[in-house]
Amino acid sequence: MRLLSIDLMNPMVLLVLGVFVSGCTTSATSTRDAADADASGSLSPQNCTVCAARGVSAPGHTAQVHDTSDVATVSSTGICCPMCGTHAQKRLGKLDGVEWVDVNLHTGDVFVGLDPETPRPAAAALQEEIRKSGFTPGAVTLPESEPQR
Amino acid sequence: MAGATRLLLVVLGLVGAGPGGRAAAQQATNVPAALQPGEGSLVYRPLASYFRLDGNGPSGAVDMAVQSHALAYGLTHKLTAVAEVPLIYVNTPGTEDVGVGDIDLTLQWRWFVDDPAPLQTRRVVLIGGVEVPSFDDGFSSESLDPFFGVSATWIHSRHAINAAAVWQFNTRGGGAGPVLGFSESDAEALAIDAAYLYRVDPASFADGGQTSTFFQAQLLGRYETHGDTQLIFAPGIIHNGLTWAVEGAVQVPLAQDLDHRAELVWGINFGFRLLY
Repeated sequence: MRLLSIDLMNPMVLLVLGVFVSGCTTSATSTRDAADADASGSLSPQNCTVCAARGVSAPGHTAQVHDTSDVATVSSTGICCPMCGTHAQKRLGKLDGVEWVDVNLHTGDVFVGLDPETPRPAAAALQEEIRKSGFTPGAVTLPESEPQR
Repeated sequence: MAGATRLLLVVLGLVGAGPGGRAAAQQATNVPAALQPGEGSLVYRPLASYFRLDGNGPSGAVDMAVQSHALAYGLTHKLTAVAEVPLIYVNTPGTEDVGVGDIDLTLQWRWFVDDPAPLQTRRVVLIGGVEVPSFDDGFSSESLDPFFGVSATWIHSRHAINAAAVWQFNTRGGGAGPVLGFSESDAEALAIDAAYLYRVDPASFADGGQTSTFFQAQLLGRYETHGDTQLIFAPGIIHNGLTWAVEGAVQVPLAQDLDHRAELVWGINFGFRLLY
């Protein structure tokens, strides 16, 4: 099987893909307990908090992000394509204390990774950035823990 | 009609039928959509077009390539500014020429929005702007022509519909000022466009996905006050990722009643959208 001149059965390609995917499962191990493991005892990408939040199986972020971020969730409507989601990501990503932003197009949830050591933005600020991105914000769920000062 | 004048009309007409200019992520290639960049976001949209026009006119067969460059910037979440500059190459039997077409400066204001659910939206924008003459001989109307209109977009999961109507004035009155890009004289022009987009892939974002592919079917209608009318069918594909999109369409005339310019045989568009 070939895709864009890449031999998908090439061992080196498989290795690269494996490393890419394993980055997610490794982070799952660090963020979830053993109860999240499936019947076979291994962790799937869906067991990882952030990967599950993203709704993807091969994220491009690192385990360190998973371990250090608190996650706020902003419900939103009107985001209709990946590029639309990027508008929201760009604006939210400029706020102080925001480490990363992911958008689940299917649910409309926007996940905001917050730096635990920085005062986090208020819920209203997160909603305003969604609005300025051109979409309609809904409820905001903030992490319970207070940021370290 | 002199050959050179007729060529000018052809050039300006098809430039008008080209990019649309209101750059946004999920809009058809040639139809303005009620979708705008976020506040502070910039979208660069180059679009290359190639047109073949009929060989029955006094100019003979005309081959034309247009490279249009559009920049759309979100001034606020409701107001977008767009600038669009077309670079034009034309080739008729025995002649070749390159020039800069008139520049479109547009403001697009969001008048209505309703986002009832994820992957659903209904929006209406008001469009106003002016076509600034480039004064490039043979490629410019040499008149400052305002235009205004409205565009509506409806998106429901995999389906999207865009519809737009834009009226362009001709301030040159009685001269050879082409309007909305379609012909000369003192005529003013109405563009009525519609597009249906279907998300071919992914069928659902439930399993994630950072790209999407749309099929588009566009109808581009033109009416000019001196009686010329034209209806073009333009199907195509749009594939977009997180910060980019690539798009392509073909243009085929469905009906043409043109007395002031050459008829379209076929055309193609190919372009990108880059979000900064």
